[in-house]
Amino acid sequence: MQFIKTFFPLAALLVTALYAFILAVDPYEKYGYNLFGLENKAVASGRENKFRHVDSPLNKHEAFIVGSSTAHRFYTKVFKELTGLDTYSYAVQHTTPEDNLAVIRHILDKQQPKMIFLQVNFYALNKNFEADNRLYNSPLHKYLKADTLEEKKSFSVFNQTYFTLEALIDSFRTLFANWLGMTKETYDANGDHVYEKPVEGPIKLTQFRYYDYTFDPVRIGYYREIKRLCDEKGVKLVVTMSPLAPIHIQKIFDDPKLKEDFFRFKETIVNIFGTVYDFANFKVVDYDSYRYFHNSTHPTRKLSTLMLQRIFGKWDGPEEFGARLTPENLPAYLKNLRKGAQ
Amino acid sequence: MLFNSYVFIFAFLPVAFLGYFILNHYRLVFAAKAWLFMASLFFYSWWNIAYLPLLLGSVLFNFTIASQMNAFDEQSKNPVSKKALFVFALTVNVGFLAYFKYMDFFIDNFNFALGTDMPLLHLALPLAISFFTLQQIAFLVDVYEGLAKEQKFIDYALFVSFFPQLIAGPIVHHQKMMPQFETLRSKIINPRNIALGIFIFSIGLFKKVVIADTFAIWATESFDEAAMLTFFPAWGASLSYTFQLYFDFSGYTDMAIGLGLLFNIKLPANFNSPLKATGVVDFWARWHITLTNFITTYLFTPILQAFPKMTFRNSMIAIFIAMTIAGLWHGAAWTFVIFGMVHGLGIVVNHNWKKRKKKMPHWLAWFITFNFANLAFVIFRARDLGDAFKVYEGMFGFNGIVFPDIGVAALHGLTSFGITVGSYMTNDNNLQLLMILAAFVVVKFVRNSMELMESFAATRKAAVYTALLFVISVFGMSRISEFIYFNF
Repeated sequence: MQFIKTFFPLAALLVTALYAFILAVDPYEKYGYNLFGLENKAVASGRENKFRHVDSPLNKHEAFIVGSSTAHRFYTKVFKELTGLDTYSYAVQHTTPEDNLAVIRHILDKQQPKMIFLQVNFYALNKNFEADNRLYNSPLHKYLKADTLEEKKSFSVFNQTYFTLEALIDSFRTLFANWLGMTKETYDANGDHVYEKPVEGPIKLTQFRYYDYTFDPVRIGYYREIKRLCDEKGVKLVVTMSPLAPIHIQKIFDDPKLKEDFFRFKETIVNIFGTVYDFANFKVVDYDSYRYFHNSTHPTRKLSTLMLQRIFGKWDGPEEFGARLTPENLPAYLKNLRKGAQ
Repeated sequence: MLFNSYVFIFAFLPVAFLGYFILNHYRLVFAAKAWLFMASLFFYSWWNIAYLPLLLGSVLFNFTIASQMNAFDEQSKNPVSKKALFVFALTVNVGFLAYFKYMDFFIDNFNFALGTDMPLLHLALPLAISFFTLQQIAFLVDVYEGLAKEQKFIDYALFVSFFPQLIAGPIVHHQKMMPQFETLRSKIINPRNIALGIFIFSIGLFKKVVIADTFAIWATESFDEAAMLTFFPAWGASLSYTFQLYFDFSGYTDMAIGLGLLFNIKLPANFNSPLKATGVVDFWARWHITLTNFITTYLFTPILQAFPKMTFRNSMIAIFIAMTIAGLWHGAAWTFVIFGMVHGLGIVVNHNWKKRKKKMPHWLAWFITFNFANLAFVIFRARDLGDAFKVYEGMFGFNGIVFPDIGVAALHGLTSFGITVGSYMTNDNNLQLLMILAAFVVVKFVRNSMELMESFAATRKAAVYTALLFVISVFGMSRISEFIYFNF
């Protein structure tokens, strides 16, 4: 009986203490508590933290950056300089169109944006690449269903945001970041990913997520829904395709079927969104000899800034850097890209 | 319902537990068993109630057949009829499994071989079908051979559906489990069993929620990008999956054993530190032990008996065939068949080595066995053989080697050999490396759950450790995460 008499009260006590600790840190700024006087919140769970920020009526922004970790290096300060719009980065790791749609529905539900900047990845339309489980575990999942804009309440015995191992880890991470200066996963007040690791070594091939690439009609539908929602709400939607390092594109082109899928992806998104800024071509590295990528899919801050300058017309570099694709110029562009590949 | 869910731990389990012992307290033994059976059905239906008729139909069918076979015994009727009944039941069970689990696999291969275009059925795999079918086949064989007998439907239904072992084993024998329900001791709350049950359940929960689910992130991410894995990330991928699978399945088994103990039922051990094994034969004596026993008794032995002579050569052929079938049991894909064949071959080589009485240093035997298991699990995890070979290419250095920059200038001069310096692990994450090293230490040097059970003392100190494991795991349970073996 000694075991039982100790186990149950102790377990209850530990649960209470850890939960109280999480609440005191409030890593996702859900309640506005800040018992330890922390300056910024260092979390890996961007979907939680950013959801809370956008959800709060206290935070209002005019433009939003939406995308995966490949969009982490678009800095809101640069964005504001170029567009004049107060910007928030809602970029979260490892996204697919499900994520993009949930995020954009959330933005449109809680904010009144003038512009949404969406970065899309080639792997995103592959039916055989699964959406991240973190989406379904985060409060964003409530925005996955079409009817959830009106009806978002879901029953939960426990507070699923804070009664989690992620929240516990993020609470400790936040303390470490603030007290010991360990800023690796820190998001600042505008959602920018603070830490940029140094550029070193050869470019590593990453995120080659094209196993049995099969276009997913459901995900294509999600992109269409994003376009429809933005049109309906009168929000300017700027879409760009993530840049890829030449070794990555070459690896795609080494597989004839994948190469055709790559072209078809561009066609598909241009047909959906009308205008798309494409940086997934060989020209992206022709600008100068600077090292533009952390790895084959993650651009540096410098490249991301150049992309924004190119998109928003404050660009004095070569014209072939990036391309503004429309249904009209797409066939000629793809023809040239094929030639380049040969 | 998942063991690692709030609804199971904080709602279903207390209600099932209290109901069972309250009914037993008032000597309502039949009602207590019926309560546990109903609770198990509720547990099963939580996933998808549509499959409940399949489970009930299977239970009813096999109980009827077993009763008929028993009646043949009692009335001393023609044994040929008993055999016919047995063969019929076996055919129905195997056909039942084949239809739901393998039909699309057969059609797909048929189409490929003959160039036909038969449409696939796209049947959803009913949960636990492989386990409850296997368990009932074993029961029918035992009844046929006169080793088991069950006359009460409620006892038989409970034997098949008892929720701790229903979904993914351990595969239990009727004569090992059901007599436990009949003892007087099993009907009263046993504080020591409760303490031991909570202890072992908490270990399993921690293994699953904290360890396996963390490795799962790296394994999934890496296998998704199989084509581009260089040397270290490829090994990171394979090791992450090996540890994910081990901690996931052994975690499940620990939880099942712990839950059984709460009801005073001792379920058989299913793992005995398989990653400490020093041979492939040894590995299978430690990994999924109840499946190994099933394969030995109900596959290997009949296959061997089918040969005209029991020679070493024939027994090796029987092992290879039995392991190939065991591979296919895991799933309807060629990767599983080849996984079974590879292990069958490994066992054959191991037996030949033993026969020649050659000695090998213990550490070398462990090293070879661990790597054999690790390499074979790549096929087990991969979506197809092409994907598996992509991982192998990375593991054997065909995609180059990227070393961490540790300040050794000489490394920078090795680019012509495919060696470069830079970020070296998936997501540049040193945590993965640390976890892999820690997992090595745990699986090689730490006492396993069964050993811990044997030396368990229900002290305050044990309660503190258990509470820590339990509480951390409870925080981790918010993640949606099924057990890998639920897919089989």
